Amino acid sequence: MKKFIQYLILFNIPIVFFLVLVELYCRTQTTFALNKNYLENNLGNIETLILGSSHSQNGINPEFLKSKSCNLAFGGQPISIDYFLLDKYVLQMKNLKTIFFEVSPHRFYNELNPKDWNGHIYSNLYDINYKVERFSIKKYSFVLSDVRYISTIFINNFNPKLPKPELNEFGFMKNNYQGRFSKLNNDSIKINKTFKMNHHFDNQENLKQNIVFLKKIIEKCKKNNIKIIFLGTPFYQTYSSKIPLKSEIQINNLLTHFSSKYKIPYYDLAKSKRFNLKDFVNDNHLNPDGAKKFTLITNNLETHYSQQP
Amino acid sequence: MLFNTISFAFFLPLVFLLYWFVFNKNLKLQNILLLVSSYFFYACWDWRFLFLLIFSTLLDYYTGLKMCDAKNKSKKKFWFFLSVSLNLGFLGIFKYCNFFIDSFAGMISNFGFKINPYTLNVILPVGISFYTFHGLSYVIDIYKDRIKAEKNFIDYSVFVSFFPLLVAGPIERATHLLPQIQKKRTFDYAGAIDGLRQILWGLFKKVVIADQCASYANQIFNNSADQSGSNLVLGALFFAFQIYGDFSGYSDIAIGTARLFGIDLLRNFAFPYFSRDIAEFWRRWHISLSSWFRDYLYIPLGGSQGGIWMKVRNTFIIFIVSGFWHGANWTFIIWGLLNALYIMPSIIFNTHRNNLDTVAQGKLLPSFKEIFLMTVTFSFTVFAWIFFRAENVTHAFSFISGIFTISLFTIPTVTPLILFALIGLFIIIEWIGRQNQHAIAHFGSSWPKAIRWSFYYLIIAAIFYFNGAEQQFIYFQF
Repeated sequence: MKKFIQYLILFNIPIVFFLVLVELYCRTQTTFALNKNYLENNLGNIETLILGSSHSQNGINPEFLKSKSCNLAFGGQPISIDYFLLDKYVLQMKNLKTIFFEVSPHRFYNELNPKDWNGHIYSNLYDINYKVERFSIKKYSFVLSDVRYISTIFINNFNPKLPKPELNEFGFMKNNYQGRFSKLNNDSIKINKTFKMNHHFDNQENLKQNIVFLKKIIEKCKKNNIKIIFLGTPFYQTYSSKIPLKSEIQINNLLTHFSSKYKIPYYDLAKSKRFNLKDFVNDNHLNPDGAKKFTLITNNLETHYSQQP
Repeated sequence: MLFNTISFAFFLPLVFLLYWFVFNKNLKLQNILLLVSSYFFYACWDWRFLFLLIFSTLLDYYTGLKMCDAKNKSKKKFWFFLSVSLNLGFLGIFKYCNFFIDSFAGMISNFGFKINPYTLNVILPVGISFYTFHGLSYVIDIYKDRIKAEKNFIDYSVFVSFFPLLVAGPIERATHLLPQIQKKRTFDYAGAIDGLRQILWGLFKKVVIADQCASYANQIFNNSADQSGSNLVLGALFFAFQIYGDFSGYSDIAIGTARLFGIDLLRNFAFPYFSRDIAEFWRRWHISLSSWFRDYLYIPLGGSQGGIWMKVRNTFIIFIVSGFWHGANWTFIIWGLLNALYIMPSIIFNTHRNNLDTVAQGKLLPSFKEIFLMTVTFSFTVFAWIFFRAENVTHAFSFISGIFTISLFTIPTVTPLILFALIGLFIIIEWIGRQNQHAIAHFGSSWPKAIRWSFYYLIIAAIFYFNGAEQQFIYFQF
């Protein structure tokens, strides 16, 4: 038995070492960890908050915003999580004046719950439990919550073919230039030919449920005297042209309705000509140059609307 | 609790340490620990159904004792039929009730009558088919005077509920497992190490092969109307590897886990896709169920004693019942029927025991004839799996008719190269290890320790890498 235990310990040392290393890395070096640290260290000072999906995560670099800002947008983040994040911190953000709320159409047709791969991040970092799991160790450890996703982030860090992620203090990746477009040498013909839409725009049941959470966010902002701005992030033409017209109109009508009912500025740059191929890392995500451009526009928007009553 | 979850990775070492370090001096305490852990393991899925498991255990324990104490044959018969009918009654209510109601309503509507059947909104308790069969084998063996009733309730409960086999087998026999539970276990270093290897290989089969194949098989089966013939063939192939990886992976983990506790479970799979005919396939696939049906259905029905037609009839019966055991759906019954038809020529011409040895025994590569026979057998098996996987009979037939079109000769649009490479590697390792209890039992045993361990770390890395959402095991639904 003694020999067996020795064997087990010896065999498992490298595995445990690897997992501990990844866990530490995730808790200190990743975009979501840095985001959270920044948020909690500056809670009382934050004036602008960004809520949304990877479109805003990659599209807005708080470094270029004049006001003290925090970008809480994250890949695949559902509108329900936007609400839960806001609900969790709104009372502590004494200085919060503006929220940029991303209104990319796919978000309204997505499921209310996050997927497993990102859901545990909210559970671990923000104690937002999207599903109740009894006896689950996943609530306490990043690496155990989704070994594949978390390990991939860690391993990519050491992949010589990929640039080592350079994150600023806001968790924004400053060298995020490698993607589908760079792989195709920014060749627009190839880009057009090989595009495949990875979002769905048809689930009406999800739409109904997401509207409920959108209303909750608006009410929360009104109650706390926070200005909310609907923001449509820029897309490359491959992506924007493949959004079904019916869905585009449906979301546009919905947002126009909310915009006039609650007097919410609605600014949509989805098809803006100001952004060209060189501003994108892929069909629906800006690269850091595009993000700088887009952030400066939002900056102007913020200044403009903050002067209005 | 699933074997492929983080929770199990904490549960197993904890039970192991308590078993060998805290309760090692007292067999009774060790068995109580196994029982409590097994009930906890089951309750993690749904604690309410624990009562059903306990009731089923109590029923067979009590009727077993009553049968042994019976002073005459009729009393013994009474307790036997009580136990069998209650066991099958529970199985019927939870598993087959809605199937019979729907099928009856369908039949009535064929005669022009329309009824709105009232179906039950019941959840199928995980493992009910497995622990019911455990219990049935026990009472049948007592009734046939093969064994004496177990007087110790804890020991009997561990036999029924031992957590590695509780939810998806192997389906154990009292004659094999109970004596192991009754006697003091000693720790076997070599057995435990090999058990760990078997767990590792089982996880690889489940997480890397089955779950990855599942995503493509689901994609193709769920949209079969839009797929080309070549894609549909790929879908069926992916499902063949999914179900093998899933179920044999589960069995490997179960057997490996039991070995850590000094208990040997029945072998459940013996590299079935390397079979040279269907009879050999059925000697190698879900062995514990096939042998259960042989011993408790085929032989009592007369087996092969009554001439060729008796053999044919009994073979059809066991395959149809076996199909029905898998699920309350006509697709499973057709799957069983199809396998009965496949095996029929070898039954009629008495060639079903031609291939009792392992293919290419003692050789590195098979002969051309063996490759041909294995390919034919595998193709027939894959064809039958279409019925097993389809949502209903109409879906199965539309899937098959979709295969036999001109688009069968087009290049498939689903080409996951990494998965193809993984399946290729998997087949090679399984082939090399086909003469052993499991594929990596002796794989690399002559290699230096550092290289052997690197191989294990590679498997672990693959498991980590491919471990997305933890997928449930297919056989949980049976």
